[in-house]
Amino acid sequence: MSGPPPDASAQIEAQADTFRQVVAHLRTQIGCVFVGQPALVDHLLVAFFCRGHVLLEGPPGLGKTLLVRTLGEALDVKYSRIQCTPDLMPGDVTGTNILSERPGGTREFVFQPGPIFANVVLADELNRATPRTQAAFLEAMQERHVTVFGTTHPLDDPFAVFATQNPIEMEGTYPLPEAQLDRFFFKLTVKMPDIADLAEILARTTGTQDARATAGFGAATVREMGDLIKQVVVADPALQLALRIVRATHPDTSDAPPQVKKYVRYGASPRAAQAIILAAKAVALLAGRYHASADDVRLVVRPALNHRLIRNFHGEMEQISVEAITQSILEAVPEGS
Amino acid sequence: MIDAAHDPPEMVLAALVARCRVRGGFVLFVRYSVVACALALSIIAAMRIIRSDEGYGLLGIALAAIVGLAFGAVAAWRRRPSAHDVGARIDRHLHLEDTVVAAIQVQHSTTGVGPLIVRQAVARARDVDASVIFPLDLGRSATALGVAAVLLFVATLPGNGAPGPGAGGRAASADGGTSAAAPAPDGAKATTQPATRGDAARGGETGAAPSSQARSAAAPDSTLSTGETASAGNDERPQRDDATQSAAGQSNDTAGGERGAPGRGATGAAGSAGKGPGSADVSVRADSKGGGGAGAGGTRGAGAGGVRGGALLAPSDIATLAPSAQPPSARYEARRRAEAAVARGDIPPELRSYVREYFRAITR
Repeated sequence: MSGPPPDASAQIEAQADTFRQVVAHLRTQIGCVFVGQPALVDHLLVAFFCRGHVLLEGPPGLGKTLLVRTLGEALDVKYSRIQCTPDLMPGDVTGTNILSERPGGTREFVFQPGPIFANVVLADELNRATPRTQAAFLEAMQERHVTVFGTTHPLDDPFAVFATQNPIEMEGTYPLPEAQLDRFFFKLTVKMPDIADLAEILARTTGTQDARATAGFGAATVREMGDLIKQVVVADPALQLALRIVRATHPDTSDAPPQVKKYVRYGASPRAAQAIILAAKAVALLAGRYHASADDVRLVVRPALNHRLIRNFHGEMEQISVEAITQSILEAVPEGS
Repeated sequence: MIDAAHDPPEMVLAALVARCRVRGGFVLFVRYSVVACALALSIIAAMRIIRSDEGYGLLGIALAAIVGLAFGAVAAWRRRPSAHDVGARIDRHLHLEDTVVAAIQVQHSTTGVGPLIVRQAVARARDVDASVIFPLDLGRSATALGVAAVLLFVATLPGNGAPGPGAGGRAASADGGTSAAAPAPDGAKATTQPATRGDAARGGETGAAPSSQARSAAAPDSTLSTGETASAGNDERPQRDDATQSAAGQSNDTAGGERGAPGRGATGAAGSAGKGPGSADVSVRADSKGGGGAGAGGTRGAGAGGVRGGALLAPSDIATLAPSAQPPSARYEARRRAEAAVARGDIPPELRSYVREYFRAITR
């Protein structure tokens, strides 16, 4: 029987160990700065290592910016922050050509990269930027390059956009269109910490000590981990489950549960299935397995569908949450292949 | 023999899957065979009822078994679990998070993760017992179907006093010689019960009533139907052929106690085959000539043939009939004790008539 070279498996095993070490390191470092919500942190890390972009939603002051910044610092990768406002222009994000004078006296346009040229980009309050600026993010997120004055400039690898938005203040905002929402791998909701976590936050932030993350690993390690995740095998039952779930989000299909038929206008795109499968692979690797199971799929369905289910008028009027609809889908879709 | 500790994980996994597939196929074979046998038995029993056919006794069982096994083998082969099914079942049973399924998927792949997955699967499932994964459980429906089919088949076997046209129809039929081959004892019982009520059609069903039951129950009726008295003829006591004697305490020689005119009893008893008084007579005569066959008429015919023909039997003929081989039923025993209690006077005198009426009522 012709199998893989013996050292290939050993190498994968070693990489998997490294992956778990990196994630453990990040959990620890983030835990030093960001208190509580381990599931949120895990989903954030999974999305990052899958080279996905994350939309963080939550009221102000819950540490969204801190969380992303700590991730960049702990991994020792290039981090940048873009504070989105209505007057933010695309060139402010992508960079622009500026006239530069050379030593010989000749002048020419030289591309000055914008803040999007980083490994970890925090787009704070993305929904406050105009659609035009949001569109600049769109190309960068999807194509991983920007085009300025006809010249395409590739972005760094890894490249991940962590956008935040405030669900409370909707005045003066430009809600992200569905097409742009679909570009995000996960949408994570940052919740209010409980009493114990809040006490811990106060203890850490009002004292004299300033907690900082310790840097380690680097961009190359992240790239390696991303490639490793793609090698993980998806078991057939897990694949079937993911496909059924995505199909069940569409109200016009026979598989859709009543909640979906009643409250959903548009279901999830194939990107949702891609995100679910890729994230399930990362979760499996974290669990010490080299194959993704149906349980892994179930773990990542919620953040993957959070922003991809578009409610209809009835759903919004009756304030049916997307989480409730997702839950009904998970309950309705049978397991097994 | 595969040594899980030393052989390559791929071989161990393949052996495990093969073992479970064989076991799964066997379980399916048993399950389908049971269902098919049950259906075949049911069909044979139904044919016996519909066609008044006495055949298919042992032959029926053999036929059903052959059909069931053949169908079970074919169905189990066609629906035998695939390697993927086996893997999924092992995963579900041992909560292995799709490890075995994934291992089966990648066991022939050339990727680097393939051997790792196979190794994990073997490490977690190498000691699994195939009989645990595929227990020999027929399921409620299959079990119920099988039991019901067996009961139905047994109930329609010749000589069980079972319902069905095969009973009354044959007993009263003119070719009584044929049915004479049926066991006499049950027939004797069968004849007594309908005699009381004159409902021959039910006689076959309740034919388990002992002959002595006729003594008390049938006697009053038989006084009204002198000449109708049938001879079940299997009791050890002296046989008489008229209702008056029966009422006097003779045993179940008073089977045909129909209240109506002579001939009603025979017709009703004979069921489909009873053509009238004459046919019943012929039947009984033929039975008795067949040697112990009078009971046959009774067996099925529930006093069918017995009703009319019995009166024509000679005591000597009756004496040749076989005695009852079955013990009295529990109901009969209870009734006998109750009657004894009534006779002893344990019951207040003012209630005796009610009690007696009660026993008569439950007899009916």
